[in-house]
Amino acid sequence: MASTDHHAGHDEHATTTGITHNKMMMWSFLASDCMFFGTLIMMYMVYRPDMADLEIGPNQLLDIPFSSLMTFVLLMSSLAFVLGLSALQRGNHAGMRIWLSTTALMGLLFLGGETFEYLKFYDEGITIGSNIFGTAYFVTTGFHKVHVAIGVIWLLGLVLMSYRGRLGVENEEKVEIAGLYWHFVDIVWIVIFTFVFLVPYR
Amino acid sequence: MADWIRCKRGVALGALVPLLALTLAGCGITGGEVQSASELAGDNARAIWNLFVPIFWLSVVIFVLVQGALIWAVIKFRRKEGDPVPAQLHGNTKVEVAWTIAPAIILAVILVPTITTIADLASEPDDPYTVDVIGHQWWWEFEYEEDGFVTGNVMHIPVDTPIQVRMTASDVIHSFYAPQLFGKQDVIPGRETNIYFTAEQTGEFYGQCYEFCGIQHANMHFRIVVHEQDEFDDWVASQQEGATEPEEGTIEAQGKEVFFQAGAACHACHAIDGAVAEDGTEAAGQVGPNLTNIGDRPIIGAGSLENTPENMFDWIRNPQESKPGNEMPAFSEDQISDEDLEALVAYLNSLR
Amino acid sequence: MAQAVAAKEEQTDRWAIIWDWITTSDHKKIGLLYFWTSLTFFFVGGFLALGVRSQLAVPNSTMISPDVYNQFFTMHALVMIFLALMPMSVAFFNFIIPLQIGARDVAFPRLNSFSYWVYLFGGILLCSGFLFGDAPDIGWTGYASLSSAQYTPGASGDFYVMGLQVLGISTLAGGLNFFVTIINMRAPGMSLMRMPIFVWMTMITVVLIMLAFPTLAIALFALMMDRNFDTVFFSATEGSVVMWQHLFWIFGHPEVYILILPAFGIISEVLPTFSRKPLFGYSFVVFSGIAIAFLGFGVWVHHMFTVGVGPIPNMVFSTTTMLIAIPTGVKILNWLATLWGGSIRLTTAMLFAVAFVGMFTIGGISGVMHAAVPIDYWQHDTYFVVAHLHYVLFGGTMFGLIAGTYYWFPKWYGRYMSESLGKIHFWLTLIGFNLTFFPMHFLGVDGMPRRIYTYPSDYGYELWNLVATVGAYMLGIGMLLMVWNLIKSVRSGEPAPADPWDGRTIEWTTASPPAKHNFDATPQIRARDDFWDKKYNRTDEAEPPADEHIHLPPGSYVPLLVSFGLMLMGAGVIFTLWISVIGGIITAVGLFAWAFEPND
Repeated sequence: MASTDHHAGHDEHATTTGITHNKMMMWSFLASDCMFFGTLIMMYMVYRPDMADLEIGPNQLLDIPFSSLMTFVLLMSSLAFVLGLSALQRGNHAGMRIWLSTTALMGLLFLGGETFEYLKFYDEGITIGSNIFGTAYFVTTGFHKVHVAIGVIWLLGLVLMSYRGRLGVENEEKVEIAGLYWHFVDIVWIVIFTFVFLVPYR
Repeated sequence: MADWIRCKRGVALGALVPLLALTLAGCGITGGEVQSASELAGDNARAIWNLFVPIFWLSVVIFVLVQGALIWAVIKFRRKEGDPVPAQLHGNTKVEVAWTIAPAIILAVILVPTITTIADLASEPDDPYTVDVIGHQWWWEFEYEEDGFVTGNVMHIPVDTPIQVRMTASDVIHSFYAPQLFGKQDVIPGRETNIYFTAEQTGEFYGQCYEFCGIQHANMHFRIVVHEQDEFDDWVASQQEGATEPEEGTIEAQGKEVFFQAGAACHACHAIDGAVAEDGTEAAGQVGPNLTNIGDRPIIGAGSLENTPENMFDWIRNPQESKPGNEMPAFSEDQISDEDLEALVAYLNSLR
Repeated sequence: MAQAVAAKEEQTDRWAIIWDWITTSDHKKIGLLYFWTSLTFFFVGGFLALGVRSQLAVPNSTMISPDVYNQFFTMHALVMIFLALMPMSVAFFNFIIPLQIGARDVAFPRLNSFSYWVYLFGGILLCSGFLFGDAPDIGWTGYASLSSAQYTPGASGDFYVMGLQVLGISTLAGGLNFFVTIINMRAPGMSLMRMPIFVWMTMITVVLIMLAFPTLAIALFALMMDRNFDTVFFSATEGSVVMWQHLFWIFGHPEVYILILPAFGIISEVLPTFSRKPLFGYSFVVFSGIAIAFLGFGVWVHHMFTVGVGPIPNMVFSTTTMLIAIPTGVKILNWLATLWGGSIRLTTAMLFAVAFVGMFTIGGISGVMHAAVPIDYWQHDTYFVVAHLHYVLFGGTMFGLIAGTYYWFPKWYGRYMSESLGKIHFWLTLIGFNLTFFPMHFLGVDGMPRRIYTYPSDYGYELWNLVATVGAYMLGIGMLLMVWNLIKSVRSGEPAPADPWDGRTIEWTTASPPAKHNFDATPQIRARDDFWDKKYNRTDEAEPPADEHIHLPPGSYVPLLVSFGLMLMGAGVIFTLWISVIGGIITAVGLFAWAFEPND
């Protein structure tokens, strides 16, 4: 990719900042997405003090060891992603496919673990409408799960493209952009995990 | 293009003429109305007005300066044929700093009394007389907890006594505001809000709901009647006594029967303290306003109508006519005959 | 026979043109689509406003039932804010921003077309409530718990939630697109501090959109869950009814600046051009804009002073609100200084720009009044606030947008708008506007609440309400005159050259209307107000060679498809979820097609 080659129409190759439109778009979107999660987490924090006194609430339901494990899996998936990207940058296509698939798999494992927790809550009689904890917990984590699910589909799509030979080294930015998204989703989970699970409810 | 330049000189002045005329007319005509914030009868409202007046005059000065400069600039610097290109002045940092600091100072000057007034209005007076207000769609319930009775839509208070209005709502958010007495606070379900004020003169004061609360938001008026202390004590005593029992054989007694009879069944929704039917049924409904002393109130339907016997008749026959969408059903002639209804109205009118 | 053939050819020709507009990814065409659509919605909102004013002309009026009245005033606000003013600003972003930064198009042309179609479909979804007699009637603020399924059963609340949710997608997509465009596509030499002020204000606006609209989306999502899926976010007993107000105003106050900043930008272009002077204090205007945007996120509680959040928060937010008046005041003074010593030509565009300064000042002053919390205890939810917000949104935003229309119309169509009609339009609008809204201050002093469908006859509200109604009709006639002027000028206006006003910025260097590729050669920027600099200061200018590699993206129908799917998804929540499923499938197919459609 000759970035010095100024084609007027191909503005993507000659942006003012030197960052491509697609990558700039992803950064901007993530700034926006921060506010989506920020609003949800803020709501959760405001409702938090009321949750301690609930008959069935976080103190009875949250399983910190299990969710810590899930958090670990999600964080490690970011590492797997980085390894995949670096494999592609070195031209190691097979390595990239393996690592990206691993990333997606770990994402799926996380989703599975979270769903297991949902079902456990449901068995205890907590649904989205039963009290403010159910409402805030399911909506906040559910919104994050949707993000993870989109990420998994995206990653699998990249793997598929690579198999078809449409993801060469020159397209590594496509993977990089997916990475920005995936790392963001991970980081947000750390915030959610801290405020929803770790900080004690009193 | 030249005709733009020839456009009549001074037309810009016309921009201010209607405004100025309106302002003058407005100053002459506003105020003095029943629900005006400029007719002061309470310390709370007075504090607000005292804060407003200097800010208003400051605003007038700024308004005149800015608009004056604007119009002056447009007239003075109008392009004339053959004008040279003006000096390309890009700015002046000193000027900019000056006019950043100037408004900051003005606002700081405004801020000081603002903050002290906020604190004043929020501070609870010693030993206030408390009235609980509960907002309903679309009427007001006033509960006098200390004295043990409930009334609706007309609040009575003693003059020169600190009052605490303690408020909550049963359904949606309302806002409680009688402009001549105090500033408004919202009335919120699941929360308690308070207004503290002292009425400075006796009389009847107007107020209504100020937060949009549904189809009949417009007809959610109330009145506050301020009494001398002894008059107020009499009123409290009469409330505590409960309803006046009509004498046997009068039209009022007949009306009381109608109140309880199957077609009307007013008691299902309304309470009248102390009114008991022959079969022992008490009038203790909680859906609509408490009607003990309804004859005393100046308004029906939270201000939809004035309280006259004719209006009361029409109201009961079809409340949806003057207040469409409210919770009270209409009563056809099959349910209450004209004769019965007149008796009922007479009975209600006798409750004082 | 020959005639029939000709007619048929014309027919196919017409379809080709329509197909071209539907699939266009040209920012100029999308800009015009935005303009005409938002103008149409402006008249829908105007009609609703006249309904409101007609009902209030006399006390105890029974012209409109309370139910319909509540739908009217709610929809008036929603239509004006989300379907008229904001999209009309976006129309200017679309047409003008790429021209002012010397670009061929926006960064993501198909996303741009998507934004437009989502806006159109979202607008239709929101307004379609009227077809079912169940338009939103809960006020544009949709306060809980009135907006809950218990107190607003039926579809009206769902039209509110889903209509705004779909529109939010459009706005957010547009915001992101223009942010990347401005950051990434400026012509060589156009550093940030050489950007035209309209570009600056647009950039600040789209950053506000990016950061404020997510909060609205989450709030609407929570409300949708509450209404349809039994969650308890805003319930009085388990959640908090006040939470909705916080969320709504954390979005809502930046929204006010989203509405006004583009107009700030427009008049910062118009005033210098017709004064033949550069904008006074460019960097102060820029930084005060940034300060306004920044502080705009810290003042939301001033919409909630009467909620009873406590005296300390009230003091804090009173202070921040007054702080925000400082950069606003700086802007007004800079505009005055721009006029001062200039050589002023009072075209219609200039008249509106000058009137903007005057009218916006009135709105600003009344704003400072209710920044003082105790005064807000009085003015909140009275007609005083109605007066204030209309001075800001009509006397401010709308006057600015009208000024921009007269100013850039020659660039859009290569023709001038009629100045004589324009002058009549201006005076009718200015006088009608003040007759309508100035008396509302007096009504506020006399304690008239807003959002009431009627008022008793003994409260002294008759005179000023009648005056306001007369003014509103005058305003309506004025705006109709503008439409007449627009249509007449599109067809037969006096032809305009590339640079009709002796302009200062580079959009005036290209033809009127611009060629499809905007500029033959990528402009090289050497100064702020580059075009003026070139015309008056630079003598030796070697024209850069025409660029041979002009490449424009092809049109696409995919954005239309995806946005249609989104509308169905929204409609499904209102009617039956099956429609959502169909919409979801259409959206998914569309997105798939989008991903694999070649775009260059």
